[in-house]
Amino acid sequence: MSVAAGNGWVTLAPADRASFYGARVAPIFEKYCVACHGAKKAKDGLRMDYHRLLEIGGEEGSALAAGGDPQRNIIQYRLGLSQNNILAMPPLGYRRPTAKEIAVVELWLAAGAPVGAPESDFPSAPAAIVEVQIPAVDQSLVAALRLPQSDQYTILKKRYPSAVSYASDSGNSIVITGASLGEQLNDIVLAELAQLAAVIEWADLNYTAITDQAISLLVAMPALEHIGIAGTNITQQGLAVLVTHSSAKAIVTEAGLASTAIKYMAKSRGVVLYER
Amino acid sequence: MVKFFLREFDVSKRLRKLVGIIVIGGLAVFGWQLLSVPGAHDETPRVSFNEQIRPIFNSKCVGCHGGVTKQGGISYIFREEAIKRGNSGRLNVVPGKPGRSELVARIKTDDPLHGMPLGKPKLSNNEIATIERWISEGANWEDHWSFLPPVAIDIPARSLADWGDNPIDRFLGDKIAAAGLVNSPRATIAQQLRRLTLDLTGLPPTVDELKFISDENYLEAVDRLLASPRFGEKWATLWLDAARYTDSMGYVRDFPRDSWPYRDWVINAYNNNLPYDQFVTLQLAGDLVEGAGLDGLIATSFHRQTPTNLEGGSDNEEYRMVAVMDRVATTWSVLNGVTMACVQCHSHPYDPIDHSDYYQSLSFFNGTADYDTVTDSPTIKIPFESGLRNVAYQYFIEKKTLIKQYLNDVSNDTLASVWSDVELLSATVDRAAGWRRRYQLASAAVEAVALDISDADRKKYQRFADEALDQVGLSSDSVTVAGRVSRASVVFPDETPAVAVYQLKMSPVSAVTAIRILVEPLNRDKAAHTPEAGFAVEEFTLHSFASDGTRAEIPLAAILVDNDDNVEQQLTNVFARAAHEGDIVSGFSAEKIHSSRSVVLIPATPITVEKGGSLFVNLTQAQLMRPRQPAPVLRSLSVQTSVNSQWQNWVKSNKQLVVVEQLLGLNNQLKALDGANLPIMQELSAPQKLATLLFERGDMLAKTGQRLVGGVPNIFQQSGLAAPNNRLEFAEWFFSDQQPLTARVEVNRIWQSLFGRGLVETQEDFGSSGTAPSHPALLDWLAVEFQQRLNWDRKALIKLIVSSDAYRQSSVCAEKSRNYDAQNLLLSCMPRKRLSAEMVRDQALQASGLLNHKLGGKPVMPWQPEGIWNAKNSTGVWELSERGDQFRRAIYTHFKQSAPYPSFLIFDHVNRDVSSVRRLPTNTPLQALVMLNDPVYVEAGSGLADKMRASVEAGAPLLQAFDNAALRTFSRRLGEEEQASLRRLYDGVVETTGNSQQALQAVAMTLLNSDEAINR
Amino acid sequence: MTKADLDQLKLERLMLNSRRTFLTGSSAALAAAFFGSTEVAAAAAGSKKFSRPTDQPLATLPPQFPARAKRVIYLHMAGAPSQLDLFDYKPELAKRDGQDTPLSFLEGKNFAFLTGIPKLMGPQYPFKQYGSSGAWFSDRLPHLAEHADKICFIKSMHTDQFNHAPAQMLALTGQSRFGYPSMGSWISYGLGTENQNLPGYVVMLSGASAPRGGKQLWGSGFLPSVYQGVQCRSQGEPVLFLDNPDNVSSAIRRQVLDTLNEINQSSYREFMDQETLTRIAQYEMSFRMQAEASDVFDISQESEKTRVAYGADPQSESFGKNCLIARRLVERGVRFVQLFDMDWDSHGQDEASSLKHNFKNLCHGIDRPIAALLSDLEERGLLEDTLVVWGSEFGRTPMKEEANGQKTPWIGRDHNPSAFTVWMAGAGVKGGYTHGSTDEMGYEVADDPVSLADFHATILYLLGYNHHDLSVHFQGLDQRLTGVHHPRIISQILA
Repeated sequence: MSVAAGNGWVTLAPADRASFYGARVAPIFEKYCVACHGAKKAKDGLRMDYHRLLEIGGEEGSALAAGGDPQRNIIQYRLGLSQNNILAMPPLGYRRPTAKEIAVVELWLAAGAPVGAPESDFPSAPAAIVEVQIPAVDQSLVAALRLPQSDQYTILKKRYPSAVSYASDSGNSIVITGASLGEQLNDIVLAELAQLAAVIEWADLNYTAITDQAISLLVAMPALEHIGIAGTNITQQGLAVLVTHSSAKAIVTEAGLASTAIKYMAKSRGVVLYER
Repeated sequence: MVKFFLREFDVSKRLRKLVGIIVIGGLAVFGWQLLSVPGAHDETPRVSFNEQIRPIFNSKCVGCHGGVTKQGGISYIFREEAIKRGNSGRLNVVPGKPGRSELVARIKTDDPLHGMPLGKPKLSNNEIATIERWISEGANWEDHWSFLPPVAIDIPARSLADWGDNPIDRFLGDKIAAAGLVNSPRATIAQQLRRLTLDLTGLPPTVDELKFISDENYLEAVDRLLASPRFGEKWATLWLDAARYTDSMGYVRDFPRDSWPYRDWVINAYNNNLPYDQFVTLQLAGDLVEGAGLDGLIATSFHRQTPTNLEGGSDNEEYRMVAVMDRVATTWSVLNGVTMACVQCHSHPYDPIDHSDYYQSLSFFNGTADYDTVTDSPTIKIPFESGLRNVAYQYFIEKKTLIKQYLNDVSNDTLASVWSDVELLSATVDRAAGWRRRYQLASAAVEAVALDISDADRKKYQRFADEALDQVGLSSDSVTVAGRVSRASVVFPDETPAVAVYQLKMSPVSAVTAIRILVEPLNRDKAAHTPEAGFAVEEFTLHSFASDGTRAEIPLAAILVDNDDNVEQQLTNVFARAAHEGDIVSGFSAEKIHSSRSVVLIPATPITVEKGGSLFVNLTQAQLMRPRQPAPVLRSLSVQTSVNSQWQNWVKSNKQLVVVEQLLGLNNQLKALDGANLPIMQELSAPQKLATLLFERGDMLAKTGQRLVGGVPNIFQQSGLAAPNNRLEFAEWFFSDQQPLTARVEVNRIWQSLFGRGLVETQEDFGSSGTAPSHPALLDWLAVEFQQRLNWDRKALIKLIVSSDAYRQSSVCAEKSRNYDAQNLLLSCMPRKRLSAEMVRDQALQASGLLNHKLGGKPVMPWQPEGIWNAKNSTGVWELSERGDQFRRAIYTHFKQSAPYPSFLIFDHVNRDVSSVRRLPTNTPLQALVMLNDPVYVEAGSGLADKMRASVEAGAPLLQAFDNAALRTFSRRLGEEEQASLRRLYDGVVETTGNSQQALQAVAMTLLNSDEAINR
Repeated sequence: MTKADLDQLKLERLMLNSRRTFLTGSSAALAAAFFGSTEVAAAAAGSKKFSRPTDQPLATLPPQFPARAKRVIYLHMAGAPSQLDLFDYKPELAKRDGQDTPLSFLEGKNFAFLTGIPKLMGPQYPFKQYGSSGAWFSDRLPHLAEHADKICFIKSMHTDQFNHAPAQMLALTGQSRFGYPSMGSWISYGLGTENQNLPGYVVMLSGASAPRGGKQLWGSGFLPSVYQGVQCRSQGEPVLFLDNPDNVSSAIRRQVLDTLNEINQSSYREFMDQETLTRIAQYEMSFRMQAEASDVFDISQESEKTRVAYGADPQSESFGKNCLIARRLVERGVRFVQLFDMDWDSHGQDEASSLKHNFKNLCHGIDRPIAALLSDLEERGLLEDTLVVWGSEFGRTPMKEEANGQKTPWIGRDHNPSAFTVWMAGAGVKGGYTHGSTDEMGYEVADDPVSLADFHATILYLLGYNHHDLSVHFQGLDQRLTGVHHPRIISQILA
């Protein structure tokens, strides 16, 4: 790709991701600078999305000149200014790079801003930080995901508001808990809640009134990961069935209820047994 | 004009230079027609900026283009900054031509890097069309409604058949009819009386009052309740929230504070119907109002309710500034609903208030004498016995005139004195001598039997003496530091030790009658607004050496300190000691210095030192007067002498000691009176006042720009108001007739406490980010009425509202109203409201006959769970009140800031660490536990049970007794079903416990806990 | 009228009708505007606007995205324990023990009590490495050290307040000024609580005094008072006003509640006020809470072995007893439990505040209980979704404090806001890891500085919330726990 820049046409090669510039420096520019110094908008004529264009620079001349000297290299100088200085980059109100990211850029500039040099040439560069990206949730997608169970869920939510709720706003998995109902949550109530079996992922039924009858309901929940049955009327036989057939990877049970056979079966199926 | 046309065309920068010249000629004529605005089609109503455009700007643009950050140079707060040329180089808004406006281009484009709002979903087509229409109609800009003064509006005709001619009913009725709704019927007379009595006095009506009330005498009941002393107690509670009134100083130590005289002043002000303008002016500047007397001073405690941080190692100046900033924010939020607190760090995000406006308001409050110290001074003695209050006030006034007189004498007598610079030879600081002197002074203080110092002080001085002894032993090397001398002044280096003797050596002098020492801040300009660390000179001694080496002591006759603000403190305590011990202890000290301070030393006889000799002045800093951190150090001095004979005559006239005797006499008389020390506001004299500058990003350590003078935001100035230039004029300015907000905010506050929600819901924010008024016309009409015809008379305004049919309608809402207007914004029925925390308690005490109606006085301590006040380093013990004091009204309960009364907090009482103008009601199980198990309510239950047993023993049937109890709690008789269920309860409890008293107690608790008992 | 405009009108009418029952949160677009960067703006634009019905203030609400932590146990050591004598091992400082502090340390710094030129002071106790990660512990916390592989240290915390009250408010409410909701209030406002019969946010204190910040540290600020921390006592009545008066048995109380129910139903039929129905539900809940709260605070139900492990004795109040009760509370579905232990302010002006004297008892007081808490949570399958946080309001200086030059046998350090250590364990946090470090004197942060706003944003992230969206509109601003800062989530410590 070639583009008019400075006083002639220039061919632009995309950054080589294996090089230090491509792997560490370019991503920093992309995150903090290219929005105003890129193809669509080049403030002061400076573009920072290609190495060649950095070399050509904008109105202040090449952005790579005098690399390593914080007073004369334009990038280092502007990065170093305090936030409320009118010339500071990124300007007030925009996110600022961390000290480590600035160190990476300075190391690179001081080494003469090479385009090809591999990462191994820069042993002292601080490790890259994985930035936590909180993904945007498209509510219409979530609504579609929840459609099959939504009327069932609304009815049960009205009847047992404290016992059933979605695990999060971005998915359809459901959590059931007996924390509020306590003894009032018996097999019949669990049977009603089990209408949502397909998406129940977490069932904290500790200190409730469920019995072995409930085991068949629990085993029939394909997505179940965690079950709590401490302080209930479930017998050792019930526990055994649960450990062998349920999809749950963690089961909280009464202290002493699990026999050695049950413990062995659990270990072999990779199920963790907790005791209360 | 040329530049204007060139900008028009969207060409890249480089090409423009080339095309410029050719275009000018051709366009000049053609361009002119474009400017004449084609008339928009007339029948659709013009776009209203406030209703349609500002909400879009506030919700979609102001985040980046507002007071906090002005991206691209554009802000949508002020008109000029919204239409001007942004950094993009193009005109943001061209009135009359949406096609040429950059704003329109930006909101229409789909390009993610250019489209506005940046990186967010586009505006809706409706919004874009409205903006385009607004621009094509000339882009007229209106100020936010609340910054335009209210205008008298004509009252709409009656539109509801069964409502009368009260203007409130006509305004409300107009909107109800327009929405196709109908008002609710009038409530029963018992419900009306209950609502009226609770709203006006905070207590339910008594059984007798319920008997005699009727539609005819409803208005008499209104007058009776307005005149009742209970009225002040109820309405003062809301104002005390706004004033953040507490009985303690806050922060970690939270020492008790004698604020209760101010609480009584607020109660009496409401009872005596003090007009609102005087009510506020006295609280903001009562100390400056001519002839305001004791009442004026007590009122100023409004702004002394700010917390004081006495944590060890906390910087007094920092927490004084926190208090001053609280006063600015509280004044604007309580009086005008302006969220001025935001503007501490940057210009207001939504409203046209500039960052410097905040500091112009701050300068009004930056000149008061209160400082972040233990004594909470300045205070005034308010004896418990009201008869003695004026006596104490007379003493206060006498002391003030005495000191003013003393200072006038000093300046008149010695004004003529001419000061000439002295020639300093050397200036040294001797650390070892300092510690030796500290040991001598401290042990002298310990042995001084004559001194009436407390044991604690005696132990403290003993500790100082022992420490001094170790230091003297250790430092055999007498460290001396030399100051940099230049003619008459000297500057001491950073490492000058805290405890030391400063020795100033001077060339020979002749017939010197007085020596003046000036202490200067190191950096004079900076110190004017950011004071430097102070100093504390315990002692001055003079001696001289003749040419032959003989040394002669020079006794001092008197020491004259310059600072007229704490001259009383220096005259009384320090000289009191001197009077006993005979030697002069100077007391020349300063917590912090922001301007030069001076002291005059007057020798017994004029000093003459022959040629070849030298004169020595020694200043001792023994750190006894101010033993705190950071240790005070003298840094820059200059010395002058006078030969004026006046000084000796002044000493002979013995005026100083005469004044000391009188002051001591007055102090002892004041101390003899048992009472409260109420903190009050006191303006400093001009030289002592700190300069006020703008704090960059709100940080007091980063002051910029030049000195600011008092003023108000210029959004108000347009309406032709003279800018105030001191605290009193600032208070009066709020009530000038062009002021747009004061009347509206007070009317809304009264409306909110009568209807549960103000016409403007966000009472704390009348700005553009608050909610718009539900009835703007009614609000403005009431504001004009309150300010002009009623002349700020609040009882009259309340009477007008409570006598309206809207107020007297039933709170059962019609089906249609509930569906269409779920929030009851149009008031087609009377909103039902839970009682406030104080009223919940008081109504239970009144229902059970336990309420003690005593007015005013020290705060009381009813029962509270133990351990609430157990904080080790916090102070104060909760002594249970008896003899009926535990049943006083809730407003008199002791309110400790770091541990408020728990059952009030559970009923949504505010924390009063900051000013708050409304309470958010909640509904929780903890409230149920309070009403069922708190001993206060259990006692109320047994009181009500006794009443029932008494009527049963007097022959009344059981159900009749229940009925009377119901009348006392929710002001109505019981229905059949209710009587039946209470009867079943009574029988059930008698059956299980066999004890009729317990059964009555159960019935009483049920009545007190019913939803109707704590609602109105 | 296009479809978009129809939606707009429908939305506005819905808003008008439903506004009363909703405490609406921020409009997403405006909230993101403060943030400027596209990445979160996109997230905020897509996410649902936060709002909560006021008639069930503590009902469970799902978090924005799948949470790693469902509950929090926050252990706050009020007074600032000396990190240099517990976790932040500085061999270089040990070598220069007793030397004068270099002047560069003192310029432009505010100290509470230090004056003149103080002396450097090395760690007062020997250090050793524990666990597979080789984490450093002094010998003051031997039992806790056994759990080194569960603990994630953050040694590069910093704050800007050097007095206790404002610093505690900043650490626990996000602001050093009065009037802002505490962390616990924000979390119970956002997520409600699982067990409706117990308070959602419980606070317990141990040690003689109360924290300097006072009630504000667990206050609800401008949120409704239902979200304030309920201060419970492990001795006597756990929740204020919980127990019935002496002569009222629960049978009589049940009869009173039934009758009350009937009377309130009749007044609801007359006034049709929704709040009446809510009040009926609250009275029922208070009855259940009486039973459940006294049960959860009754530690005699625990085995002798457990009580000894925690050092919890039913008769007396102690930090150990509070830790055991904390586990019992989270086990029954309480959302946020906050324990304060007093008074770690070792300035060295008397025996109680000397690092060589009372500091030992304080460490002993927390060592066994916290270790027991961690192993107990792990055994019971609670550690995998309960976040345990240990922290304070600032650190202490590497210099010895001699207040105004006295020579005393007591050893103390002054406040150091520029560097202190906190640690976390459990739900979603990498065990056996140390994040950030201080310079060799332990005086300033050397790399990976973590501000309190970063710390708060990370905790909210673990609970399934983007800190930027959990906000309420008050006084014209979308107020958040992280205020108007631009915090970063500490990604390196996430498991």
